[in-house]
Amino acid sequence: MSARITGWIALLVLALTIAGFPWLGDLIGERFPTSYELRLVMRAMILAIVVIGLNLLVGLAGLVSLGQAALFGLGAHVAALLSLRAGFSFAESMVLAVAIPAMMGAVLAFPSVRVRGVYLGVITIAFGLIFVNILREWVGFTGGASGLANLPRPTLFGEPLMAVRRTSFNYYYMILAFLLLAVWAQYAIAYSRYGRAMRAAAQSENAARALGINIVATRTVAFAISAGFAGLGGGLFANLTLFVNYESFTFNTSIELLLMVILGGSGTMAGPIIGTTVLFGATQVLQSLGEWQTFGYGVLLALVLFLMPKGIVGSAAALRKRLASKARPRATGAWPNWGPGLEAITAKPDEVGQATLIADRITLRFGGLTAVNGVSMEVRSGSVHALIGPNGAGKSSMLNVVSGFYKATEGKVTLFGQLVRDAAPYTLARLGVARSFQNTELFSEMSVRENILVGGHRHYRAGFLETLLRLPRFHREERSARAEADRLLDFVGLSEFADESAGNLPFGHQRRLEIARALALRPKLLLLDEPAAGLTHGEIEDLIALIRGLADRGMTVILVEHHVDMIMAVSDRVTVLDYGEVIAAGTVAAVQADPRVIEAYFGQSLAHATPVAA
Amino acid sequence: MEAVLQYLITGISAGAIYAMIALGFYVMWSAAKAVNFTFGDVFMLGGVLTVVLREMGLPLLLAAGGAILIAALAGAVIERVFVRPFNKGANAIGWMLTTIAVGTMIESSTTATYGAIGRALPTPLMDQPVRLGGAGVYLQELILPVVLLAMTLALEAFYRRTMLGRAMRAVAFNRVAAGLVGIDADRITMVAFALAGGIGALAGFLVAPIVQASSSMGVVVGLKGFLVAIIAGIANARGVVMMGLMYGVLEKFVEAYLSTAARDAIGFSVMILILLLFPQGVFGRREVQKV
Repeated sequence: MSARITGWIALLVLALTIAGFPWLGDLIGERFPTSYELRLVMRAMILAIVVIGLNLLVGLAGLVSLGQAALFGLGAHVAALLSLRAGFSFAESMVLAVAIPAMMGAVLAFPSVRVRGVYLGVITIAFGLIFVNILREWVGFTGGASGLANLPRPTLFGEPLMAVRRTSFNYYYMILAFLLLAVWAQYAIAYSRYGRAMRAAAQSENAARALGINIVATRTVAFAISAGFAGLGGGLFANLTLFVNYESFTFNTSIELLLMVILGGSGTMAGPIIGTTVLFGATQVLQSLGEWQTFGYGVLLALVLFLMPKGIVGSAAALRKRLASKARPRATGAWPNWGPGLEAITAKPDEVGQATLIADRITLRFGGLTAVNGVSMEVRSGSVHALIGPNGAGKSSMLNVVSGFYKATEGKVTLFGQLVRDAAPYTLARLGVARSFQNTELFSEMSVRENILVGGHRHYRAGFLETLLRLPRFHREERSARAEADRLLDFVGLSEFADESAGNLPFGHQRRLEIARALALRPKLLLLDEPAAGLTHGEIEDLIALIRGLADRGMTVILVEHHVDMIMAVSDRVTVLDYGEVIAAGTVAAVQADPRVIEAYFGQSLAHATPVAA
Repeated sequence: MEAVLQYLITGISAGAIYAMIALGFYVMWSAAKAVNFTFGDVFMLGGVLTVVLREMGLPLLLAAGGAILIAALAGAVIERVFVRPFNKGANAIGWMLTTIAVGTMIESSTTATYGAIGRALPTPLMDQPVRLGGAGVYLQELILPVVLLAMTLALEAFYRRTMLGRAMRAVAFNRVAAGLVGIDADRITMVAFALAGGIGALAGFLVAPIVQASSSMGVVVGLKGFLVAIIAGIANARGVVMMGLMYGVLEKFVEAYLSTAARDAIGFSVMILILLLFPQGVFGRREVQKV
């Protein structure tokens, strides 16, 4: 039974259990649960919704928010203030209770996601403190410590939403419905290009950018979504308790929420629910510790991080995987394997005879160091152009300028007949530039297939809502993306490794995967940064065949490489750099005979060398 | 005019505390590219332990020395146990959570044993305010910027002139290369955390007579110190100190002319705005990302 089906069955069981819980007393013939227990379950469900949102942020986007409680509280206060002061209906106030925190999240995230990790942590803490400070001090508006009390009971379609065991508790089922929707949304986002883009951005920023993913936008959206969930939880909370004040939304609550995510297993689908259940239960126990309660939280957080960094679900999944995986020998296929259907990859090359790349007097300086100095080069469409030179000659820097990772200090780059001015890597990727990296940059905790699917990110047309609702176009595109990923895996001979974590592949296979992933972009121009480094002789032969095959099908390839045999076998033209300047350019034969090239490599041209007596 | 002078002096004095804490963050960050996120609790230990040791009968300076020593040791332990194992890989964030966990433990156990209420730490420097151009300040407040200046100079001298300090700079600059020339980078990092712990505790001891030593004295101050360090661009000691002083002054003027209640809300908002304008920090340099 696949993990996915197990998951859905577990969710069904959970939903039925929660739905049946209020009627438990009728079954066992006791007055249980009372309204008190019902409220506990409702509060746990609300927390689970918030935690699901935080899980998307922490588990997928790899960002830590230490102010999630403030966003939760913002939702609660928006709902409370609107219904108390402005007479908004339940539905109206709920919409804004989601929208306002989501917007706040985007605003908070935008400055901080450019610089990772710590900054967002600090900014979210600061936001949390500001929030509590305002709530506490602006007594006229928020009631200060006495908070906002006596909220009107919410009604929907004229029906009052109640939470009392003996009369009516329809609000209980409403919260359950929202919880199930949240679980669905979590699933729909995680298993889509959006979720993959978030994980990709977390695991290798550079590779994600090179595949056409806008990192700032992706992370901002991730934070906004997660804040929206927090706001939803807040709105539901305010309408349950009919009273809010700042005490429920302090820094400690933020830590508690984070602990729930990590305890359950961040990035897993079931983690938030399990983490919330366990910790919420533990909280009821920890309350008996009195003044040592917070200490207990600290110990618990430390213990989880030491003993189960992957959380309950994550550790269980790892165990299951270890038990299930028999040491099955897997065959590596031959590559390149031009199977049917691969034509799509090279179907739209740059026009024949065009200059795919024109670099015009590119200069790149880092402070006082000139890495590239007035380099001009032109690369014809459908050709293989090698960029060679001794270490530190500026080859990789040049490649980084062409792919947008470095901004040229001076000079112009024209790609596909279009002048690109300081375009970001993801923009260039969307124009048709793909690249590999000198030190392979895979999304090491994603599967081999998922790595390639990230490469197909920009081919999707289905928008966020379509993806969330799983409309037909989403399914169609996802199917075709998966089919293409499988073809590409077959192409580089990695079919049998499709479900392996990319980080577990042997080195040579990682190189193959990186090339396949770049090809998933269906690029017009492919930049390869020392693709042969570390490969065996046989693998290099295959690589040559692959590069030639791509060029023969119209793709333009620029190659930075040291391996001389390979350059001779594969290149149409060669540009030689030394100390950041072009010292020779032309066909392979012409460059090979050039005395300046020989001098650059051997220090001294052979003509001046002292003959050695044989 | 007198009022302005008064705000300026008390602002610089409060800012000196932020600057010292920010310096501690700077020392940790340089060595490990990670920090004790709840460094404010080490700062708190400086104040609280001095009070406790004094109540046990030690003379003031000896008590302070003991507190600083214990806090330095705590810093080293925190590095070894809670930071190092969770700081593997370029984008590790585990240390953030583990240090929050240990900070929570330190703070709540202090509350449970020492009590939730602050206690006074009497010093001769708080006896009588001195008049300074019409403004009244305690010597204890005046001493803070002086100590800060001495601390900054001593730290620079340490980094430049001593073998240990140079090794620390080498580790900050390139951990792997430092290891290759025989520097035990892990050990140096631990020493850096101990040094930071000492700096934080010294600040806690110095401020305790003014604010009273309590278990919660470190939380917000620690966060402000961290924000100050980040806003300044955490890799620049002088920038960090400047920013700390400026933030202290800003706070006093907000209190004086806008609102005491909204001081932190305004201060934090200003910091978020500055970060929006200078993502690398005001005195920080943009790091070239190697591709």
